[in-house]
Amino acid sequence: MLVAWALLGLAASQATAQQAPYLNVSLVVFDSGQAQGNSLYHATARVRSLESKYLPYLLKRTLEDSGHWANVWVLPAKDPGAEVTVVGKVMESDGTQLKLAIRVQDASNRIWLEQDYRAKAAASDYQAAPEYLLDTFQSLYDQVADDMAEALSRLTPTELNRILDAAMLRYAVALSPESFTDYLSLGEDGLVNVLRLPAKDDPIYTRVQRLRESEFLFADSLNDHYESLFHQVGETYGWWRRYSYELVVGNQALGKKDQTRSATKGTWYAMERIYHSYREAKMNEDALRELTSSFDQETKPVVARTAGKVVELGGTAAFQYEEWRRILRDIYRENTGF
Amino acid sequence: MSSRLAIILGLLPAALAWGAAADPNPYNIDFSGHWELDYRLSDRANDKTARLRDQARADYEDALLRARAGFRVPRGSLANNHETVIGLGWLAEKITQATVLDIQQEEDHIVVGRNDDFALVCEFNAPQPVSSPFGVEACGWDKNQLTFQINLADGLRIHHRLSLGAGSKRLNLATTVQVTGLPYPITLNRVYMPYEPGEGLYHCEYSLARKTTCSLVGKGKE
Repeated sequence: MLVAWALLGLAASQATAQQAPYLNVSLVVFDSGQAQGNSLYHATARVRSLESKYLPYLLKRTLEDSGHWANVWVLPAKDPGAEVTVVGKVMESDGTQLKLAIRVQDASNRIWLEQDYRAKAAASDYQAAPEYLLDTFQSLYDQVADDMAEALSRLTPTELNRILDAAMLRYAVALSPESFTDYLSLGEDGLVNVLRLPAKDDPIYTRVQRLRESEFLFADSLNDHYESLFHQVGETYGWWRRYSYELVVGNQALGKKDQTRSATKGTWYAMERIYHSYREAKMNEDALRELTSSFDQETKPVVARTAGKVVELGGTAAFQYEEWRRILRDIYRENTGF
Repeated sequence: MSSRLAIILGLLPAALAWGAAADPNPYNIDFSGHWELDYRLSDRANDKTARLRDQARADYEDALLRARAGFRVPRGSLANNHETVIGLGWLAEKITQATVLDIQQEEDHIVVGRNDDFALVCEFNAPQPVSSPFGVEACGWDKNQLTFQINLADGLRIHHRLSLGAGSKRLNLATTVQVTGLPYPITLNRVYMPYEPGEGLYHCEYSLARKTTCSLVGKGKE
């Protein structure tokens, strides 16, 4: 199992610095801008809300396929113990182009990438019915994955092991600052340095590692939700992109060909055409609104197990994640007295 | 001035007059529920269109006679509009085709679901009007009526007005469709009555990929 492997990787990092371990990647749901708030009136806001979860999942699939990483998770919030964190912002997305601002950094705060990625669609991309499993802007995710792989390749096994140590210690600090703060320092350059490591048989550190393993399993469960979102709305989102593309390109063409347009302007044929496009787009909005609303509100409860306890978490993915963190902190305090 | 800006400016006074943000739903009107078309009380599109067509033809013939007699006639009155009026009537019928309304209303918003058509959605406290690539839209309360104003390209304007009859026994959805340059707006009143949705034989849903699909439910499930 990859989770178990990751823990073995940590243990190995303390045993030998020469093995090159795989790193886990935590993709935080993208910042969608929310320029128009959570308004259900504005289709754009709904689409952006969907994209904030949908697009990171596409990047997750691409990173997994690249074979350079251990686990890749989409998470509703930043993970304090993440080995590699990817945060993104949807800058532009209208079916004709996708522009994402991507920032990748590791547990030592070292920034691997911080740049905008842009891909444009061609008319040929929308000739057939949308196929969401082959995303129109796959080249963009491929580019991000390639750049991350290149940044990864520049790191030595020792540096990779340092990242693993820093990640686990940062996680430990988040659980129990009083026990683990002294193991890390923050340099003037903003980088986190591992000053020393706990003893291999340190019982408190061992508990932290077990809790971290539980959290990995919980992240797997959360990602089942993002996967179901992907399959649930993928086709509809593809249609939205296609309509949006036709609309944007069509408007541009109309602007250029106003002379031609005037030939039909004012006729009932022209009116019918205008209303038809509008109606299609509005029905598209309805479908997206229903799909995204149901995902926001009806995220399935997750049954999670840790330290002999079974807990069922309901609510949104973000709420479940926060609740799970709280439970882990409580378990830690019960077991250690801290 | 661009046509888009002109549309926005034309719509702004109406949006401001509604004062939606200041006092949404001042009469506490509640449209919630399931409504089905009452054919008996609703306008017939063909009849209304025919009347407008006759009016347009009469106006045209009158203007023609006056012009031939040497009188000055208003600009545009010599246009033969009656065929365009028929097209407008056909479009109005299409816009008002819904036979069932499923309305969900909360304190801050309303969703008027219409079968085989898009929902009319209004957030009472949202900034108005809202522009999109298609044009400009605004919605809000006008006393005890809820209005939706949709201004599309080429001067096509659609105005929906929802009101309740006495005792909430009937709901009138009055839709006016007009286009710039054509002095014959058409208004169709579609009257709906409440009904209790039961276990119908069919369950229909709309999706972008499959459009409207219906499946048998009810007895087969038991």
